[in-house]
Amino acid sequence: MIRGYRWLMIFPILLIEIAAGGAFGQELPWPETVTTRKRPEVDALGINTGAYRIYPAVSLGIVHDDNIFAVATDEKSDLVTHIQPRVDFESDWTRNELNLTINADIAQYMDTSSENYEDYLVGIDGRVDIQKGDYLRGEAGYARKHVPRNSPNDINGIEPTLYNVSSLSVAYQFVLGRLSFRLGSALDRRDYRDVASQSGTINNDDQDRDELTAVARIGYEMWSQGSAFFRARYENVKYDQQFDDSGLERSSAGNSVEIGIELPFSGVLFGEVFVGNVTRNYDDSRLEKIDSPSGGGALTWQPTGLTTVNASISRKVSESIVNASSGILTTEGSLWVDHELLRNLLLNASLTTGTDDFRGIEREDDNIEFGVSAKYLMNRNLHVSLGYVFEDRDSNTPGGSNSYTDNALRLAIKGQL
Amino acid sequence: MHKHRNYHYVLNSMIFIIGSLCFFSANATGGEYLLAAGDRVKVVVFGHPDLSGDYEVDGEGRLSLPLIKSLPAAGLTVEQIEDAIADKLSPDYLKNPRVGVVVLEYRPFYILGEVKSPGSYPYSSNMTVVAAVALAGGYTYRAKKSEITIIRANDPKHQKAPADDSARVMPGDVIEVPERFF
Repeated sequence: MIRGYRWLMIFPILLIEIAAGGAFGQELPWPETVTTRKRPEVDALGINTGAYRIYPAVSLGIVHDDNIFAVATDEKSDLVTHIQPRVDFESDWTRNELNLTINADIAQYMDTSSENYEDYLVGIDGRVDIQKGDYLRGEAGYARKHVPRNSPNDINGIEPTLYNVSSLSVAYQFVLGRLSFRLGSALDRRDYRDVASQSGTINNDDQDRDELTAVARIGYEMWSQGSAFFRARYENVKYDQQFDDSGLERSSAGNSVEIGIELPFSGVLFGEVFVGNVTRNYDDSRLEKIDSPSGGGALTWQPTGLTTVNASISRKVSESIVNASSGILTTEGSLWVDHELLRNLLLNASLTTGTDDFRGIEREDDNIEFGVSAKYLMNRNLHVSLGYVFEDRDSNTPGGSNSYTDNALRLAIKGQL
Repeated sequence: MHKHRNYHYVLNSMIFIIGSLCFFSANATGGEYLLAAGDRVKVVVFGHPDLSGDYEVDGEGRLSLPLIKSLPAAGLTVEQIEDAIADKLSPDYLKNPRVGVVVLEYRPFYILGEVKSPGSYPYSSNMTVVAAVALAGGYTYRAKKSEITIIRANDPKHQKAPADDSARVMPGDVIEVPERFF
């Protein structure tokens, strides 16, 4: 009954603050970066059908992974083939847009076929332009995914845990003089499949849930293309089962409030930084409440037209399936550099480091991920990429049982029209 | 009739003055301008409009005029071609001819590399490298502006020489804006 009341409370927010989720994307005319730059000589032309342009593509990748289960001991390496077909339908209209994307990732392990998976996604998104600066966005999608082996929420089944995600989001932005408003809401439905384990079948129904997010952002333009803003976010997670397999009530509600500034972009430095607070209250009093300062930002610096440096810091709360842990408070910082050595040769280096704080228990994971890659754009129809990723998780669990180190080398060739 | 002659005299004098200005202007760019294939010139033989007219230096570097047919022009200065035409006309056709030559249209210059619209462009007086780049649509984001080179049309070795934004461009010159990698 209490939960039902809470949902009723959300409804007016949805009506008034139409918006959220993937639809929160920035619509500002950010300067082009190395990765967003148009390259007419090597970009896919697509198939013109009048009002729509269709972009079909398929990528074939081979990955050598030296620790496919992301474990501390008895690592197993394998060669994984990824076949990634995708097709995008993009509207070619002067106003409004309506796009459809369908893509898949079919992974075949050479020696460990039990790890094979087929992920796919079907998504549609659209935008209705009301007037300059005012628009309404909407997105809907359905995806089948798998829980990665390096996820702290991997349940260690014989096969990867599969789940379906249905999502719907809507966002509205409008401008009143120097004030800008972004309102949005998103609803995700997650449905986890059971998975076999050494001791029988693991029932994952206790992970099935709905996640609702509502966001309101008010900005005040203090400089040209720069503003101060206030952002409030409400999140509600409602599990299908009142109690999980451990007898805990994991449904929760929380919010975050942030104030920040959006830097006036000069083309050289742009982005936003903010500080705030995040809270999460769980239905079960045995699960520790989360109440933490938060902050973050994302900055892009372009020292030259050929190099883009991105930096971001974030803190977020995510779900946990680890017994007695209410949630995972992840604090993460990333730095990645893109460099256009030649018009058709793009280089990238990235470093991400962060901490997963499992609230309510002593576990804390320190994560580092480092990667380098090169992409050679041979022509409009063929792109080749080579990349290396190093991952390290240092967990304080006894014996470091949740720690791991992983090296992955990937070679991929992409054909597109 | 008398009025008509006066008109021709004034016109010819003006062309002579303009030609002289252009000539001295070319001199100011670092050497007398040497005619070459593609240049269009106006030849005025005073008092003989039938021998006067606009002519182009052909692909073999020669100039073809009435009566004297063709004579080599490439590599000659404006003053030298005036003398050459006068020599050809005198004494067989005219006594003491007075000849004026002015370059109407210079042959193009060429610009390639990291500019938005590489190609050949008409030359105009006192053109600099930065003006040439502007004509070609400006630099691309990959242009290495500090290492622009120029191959002078009058350099028999066709060697690339460094050039800054303010360097003078001459007809037939080839400007190259290289690509940068960092």
